[in-house]
Amino acid sequence: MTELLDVTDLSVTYRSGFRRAPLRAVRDVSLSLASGETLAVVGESGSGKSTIAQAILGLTPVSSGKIVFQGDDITHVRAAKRRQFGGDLQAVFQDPYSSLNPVWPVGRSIAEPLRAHPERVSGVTGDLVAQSFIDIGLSPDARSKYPGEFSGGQLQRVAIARALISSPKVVICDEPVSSLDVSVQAQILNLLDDLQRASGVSYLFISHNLTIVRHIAHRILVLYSGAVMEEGPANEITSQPQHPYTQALIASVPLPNPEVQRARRLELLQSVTADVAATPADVLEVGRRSTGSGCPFAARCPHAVDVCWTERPALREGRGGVRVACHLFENLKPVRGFSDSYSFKKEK
Amino acid sequence: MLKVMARRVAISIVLIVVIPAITFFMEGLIPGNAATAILPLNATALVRHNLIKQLGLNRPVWVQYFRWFGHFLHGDLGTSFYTGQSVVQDLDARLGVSLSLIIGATLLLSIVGILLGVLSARSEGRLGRIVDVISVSGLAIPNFWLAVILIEVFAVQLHWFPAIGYSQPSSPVSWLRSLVLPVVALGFSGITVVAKQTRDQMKDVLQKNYIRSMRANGLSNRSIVYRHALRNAAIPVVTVIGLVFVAALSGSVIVENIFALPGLGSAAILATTGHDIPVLQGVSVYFTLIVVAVNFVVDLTYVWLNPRTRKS
Amino acid sequence: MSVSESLSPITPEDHGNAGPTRPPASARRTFRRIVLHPTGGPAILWLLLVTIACACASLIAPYTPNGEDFTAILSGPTHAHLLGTDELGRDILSRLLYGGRVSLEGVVEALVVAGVLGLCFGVIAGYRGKLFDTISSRIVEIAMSIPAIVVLLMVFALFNNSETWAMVTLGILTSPVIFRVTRAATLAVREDAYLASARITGVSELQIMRRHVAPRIVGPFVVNLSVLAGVVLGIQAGLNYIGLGVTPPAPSWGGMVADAQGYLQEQPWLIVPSGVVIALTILAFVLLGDDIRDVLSLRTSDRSGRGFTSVDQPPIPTSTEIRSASSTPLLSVRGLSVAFGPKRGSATRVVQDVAFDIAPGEIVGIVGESGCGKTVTALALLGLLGRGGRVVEGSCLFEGRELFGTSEKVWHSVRGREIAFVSQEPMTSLDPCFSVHSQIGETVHRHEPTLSRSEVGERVDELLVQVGLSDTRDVGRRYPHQISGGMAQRICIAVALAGRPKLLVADEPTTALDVTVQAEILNLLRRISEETGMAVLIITHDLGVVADLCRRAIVMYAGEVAEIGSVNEIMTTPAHPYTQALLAANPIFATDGEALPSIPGTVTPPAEWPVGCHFADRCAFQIEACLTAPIPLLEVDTNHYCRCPYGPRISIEIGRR
Repeated sequence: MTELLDVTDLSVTYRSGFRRAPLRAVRDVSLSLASGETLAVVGESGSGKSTIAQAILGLTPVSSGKIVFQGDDITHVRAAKRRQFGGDLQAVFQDPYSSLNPVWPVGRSIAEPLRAHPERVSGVTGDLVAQSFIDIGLSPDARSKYPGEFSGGQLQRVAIARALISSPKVVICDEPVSSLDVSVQAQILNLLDDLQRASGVSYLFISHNLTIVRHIAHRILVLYSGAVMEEGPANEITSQPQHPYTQALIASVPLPNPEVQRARRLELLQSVTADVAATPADVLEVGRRSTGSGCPFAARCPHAVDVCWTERPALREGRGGVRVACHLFENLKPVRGFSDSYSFKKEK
Repeated sequence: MLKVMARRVAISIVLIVVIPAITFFMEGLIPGNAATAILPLNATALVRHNLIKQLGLNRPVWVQYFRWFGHFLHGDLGTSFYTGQSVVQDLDARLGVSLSLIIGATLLLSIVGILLGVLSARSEGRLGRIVDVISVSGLAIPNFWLAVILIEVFAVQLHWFPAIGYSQPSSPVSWLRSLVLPVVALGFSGITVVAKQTRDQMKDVLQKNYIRSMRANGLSNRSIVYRHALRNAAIPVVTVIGLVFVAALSGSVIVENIFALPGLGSAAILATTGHDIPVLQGVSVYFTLIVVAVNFVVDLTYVWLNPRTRKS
Repeated sequence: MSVSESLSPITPEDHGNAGPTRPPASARRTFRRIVLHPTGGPAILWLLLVTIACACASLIAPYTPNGEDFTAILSGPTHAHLLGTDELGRDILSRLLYGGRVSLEGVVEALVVAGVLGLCFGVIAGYRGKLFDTISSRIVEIAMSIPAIVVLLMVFALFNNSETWAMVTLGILTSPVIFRVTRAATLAVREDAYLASARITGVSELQIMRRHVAPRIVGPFVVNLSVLAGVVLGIQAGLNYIGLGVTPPAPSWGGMVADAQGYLQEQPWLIVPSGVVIALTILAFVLLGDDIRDVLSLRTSDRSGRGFTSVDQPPIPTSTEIRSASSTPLLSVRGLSVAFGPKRGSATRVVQDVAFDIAPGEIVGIVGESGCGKTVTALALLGLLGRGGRVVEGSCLFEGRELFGTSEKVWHSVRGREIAFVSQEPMTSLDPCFSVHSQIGETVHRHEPTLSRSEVGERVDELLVQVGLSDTRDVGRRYPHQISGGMAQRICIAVALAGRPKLLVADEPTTALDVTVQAEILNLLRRISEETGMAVLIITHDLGVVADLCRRAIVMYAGEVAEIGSVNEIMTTPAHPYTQALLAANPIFATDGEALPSIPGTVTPPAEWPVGCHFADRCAFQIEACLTAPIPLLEVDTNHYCRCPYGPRISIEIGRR
């Protein structure tokens, strides 16, 4: 399996002002994406997940590390060169209303990538646009409508059509369903899945929602404060999380079943210390601005010992093909994550 | 807070250096122009050459500027081309007059403007439309025309206030009386700008999330509007007042001329027609210093209003 | 800065499934609207009239501007001289026409300079950012502190009274205004993600600027240029008034005012024509600017319910079967319907026939997707529907007392003291200008005015500890910009608790928070409810939150209550097909390798509600009877109600082992 996208030790650091310590948004993150697979990057706010996407897309400068796309080093590529492979690397963003020009008919927005890459157009542009509407489940007549005339879910389909019309190899999806209702989320996720089956496109899927990611991702990367905490096959991580942060994340997600939820709550109480919601932003920020010594999660980890504060843990092999960045994870009591499958059957 | 003050000091220094430099820069565009402007048309080349030497205009522009700036730091702004008297002496006497007028006008437009703005933000419809009408007419009616009308109605016909002239503050009542019409003429257009900005900001703030939460948790309307909304809306309004003040400086020149107030502005006009460059430069320096002082006040008000600028 | 205007009701949760909106207008339509605007239209006419008249002065003026006629000195309007004559018998109308050229040329000169400078630098600063932006912004800041008049006077003194040089200088001095506006507009566009999308696709920068950026900044640019024209004209006329820029006897509008002033006693009429012309022209420029701004909807949105047209909605179902779960419910709502619309006139219902009870100390959740009306319902319980919204039907009994239809005074006594509120975005729910301690203290003082200052301080500390913020001194000192999201929400809860309310209405309190923080806040709410016996009504779209926190749940869809029951019943034996579908669509029930069950279609907006079930068009089990008549809430089990007669009979299986 060839690696389409290979990111090695990526770091993105922002400087804000002379006296303040620089903000390390992404710290030495490595990931790789193969053809036809979906890699999910999961984290909460401040984890750096969106920054990684922006760095790959060239929207934010890289401080150190390497990004290799289809064999080419694109870490510091200039705009002109980026245009050459722009057709192969596309993106879908969270808010479709601001990712599409509001005064353009949607058909024109969808066609924009084709106009920028006429060499990829095999056929008449208009036909390709019409076909893409059908592919996303909308009528081709909709092409002359404006973004304001669509619902959120429909418009996100348009954004997806635009991303896929130039037959890219990789599509970076930055929280594509986070602003949509649950019933509509499902439509979009199914669509993404269908399109992947049909074309073999790879997704780098950024999200904070573990239940979604469990369903659609092949592999997961868990980020906290710009650093990788755990990475590996999606099933493994969600059913048997090995890193304390992943365990806390999974335990925090409320499930729609009161009995199950009551049982899980007791587990949650043991999984994090140091109330985040009682800690002021600047104290939390100290972690993000630190010089890098120690595990970023130490301040909140219930199991932290001395070495956790002084030495940053490297990613080490754990169970089931998962790699974990924690000094102590082998000694921790195994914690149950999401069950293999939840279900209920309603009787008459 | 220190950062804000340091910034303000830096900008002030730049202002004090740059504004007088503009004159020299313009002079440099057409060298010897000042002399040519003073002399009658039939003056001979020799006369002109001598005058240029006498005024020091033959030196390079930046040299002239440095010499002037050196004198300025010693409190000397040169002597008038016209009267031969010390510029500083002349303008010092006029400073009080201009300040009375401009500060009076700014106070008027701020207080009335904010009041109008708050009142019209709270009530829909009628009062809002009145503010709109006053707003637009305030901008449209030129201050000199308004001044003439005011004089005609209130001074000449009704004899309530003196038509022209200035009384010293030593007799407060006549001092105030001599200022009423000029202050109104100068401040009127400013009222509208402030009122409109206040109203827009208040309306904006009243839609905010925290206002709704406060109302939901039982705070009284009066507290919400005057303690919370006004304070948040005030910040951009203060900025606008600062800008209007600078505009009032410009307007004061004309208003002083109409009402024959012996202030900096009327000195400036005399100097313009008489091509009296040192006096003009002197007025620009005084004006700059006034602007610097006002900007300091605005910044301090900012810091007081907006906790984000305070570094605790 | 949207160009389109929304026709659908402006409910707080609108964006998720927004109904159709009008498409942005074409250039021609916009042009028509500008010209036909009530105040802008006449303004344009006046400006055209003045420009053409002054440009053709030599053709249409009845006299030469300096032609003296000693037989008619200082006359008012007569047949021969339509606007009178001045002290030398010169015709006022002619002088106005010729003099207008001076003013208009001056304005054009200044505008061109200001426009070009402001536009170029503003766009580059906004687009390129960083160093160029910082430097030019500093320069502009300094430029705005320069009193223009001194520089202008200097120009007059040095450049031989040249009007042109003065106007050019004025243009330079006023370009900061245009700079600021274009910079702000460019920045706003730059933030929009579609620029990023274009860039990723590989569209060149120049194309991006031409196609995406330029159309968005034209509007503010033109508006401000127009208003600036008015200001410049005022300054220019003022300079002419004091005799600068124009050497007599050449006419100018400002100069004519000065002339007239000298002869005010003999001929008061003289002051009128010149002043009026100046004022009207300035007015026209300003109104034109306002007109364009209105047409392009660049003002902040007016939420007076103006966008609502009257629609015919089907009759409201009335549910009569609802009985209270307990004998003394704390809150009892029956038949609540809320509509939005202008004060006088018809309104559109967005919520109808809502009924539920809350027992003392009970935690109840209203759950639904966007557009279902859950937030509107919650706000109605506090009398906070805002402009354009009102309760059109229904009753709300709080401890037996009717709240709907009472005076504002009654509401004021209820808010905070009996019913309190916590809203969705904690970071914007606190006043940025006041410290945490001050804001909690103010609410404490409002509800317990007899407490002394130190007693208020103690109570504030007590509340902070109650919400889990034990370092009270440090937290109290902080300002809203110095706290995190989770902390802010705790503080908002503390504020809400200040009045010791019996019911806390929490509108999506954790939606904007991270999931780990959400868990803490939910824990907190549960603990407080247990400790103080306070009831909680939580609004959410997350069924997991409902399962975690609530005892009873109300499921809403498209403005109606679909199902009410205990959380156990709703999650294990859901009666309404929508509840079942909503549960099924939750990704946690997904089966590997299979598609997620989803609900096809979109929510029907209130303007298009059908007669029968609002969910019918998306329901897998729809039959003809679903659409013929309004459907009330029916009892399916003890204290379990459902707005579907057939739902209980449908058995489903979600997920698979």
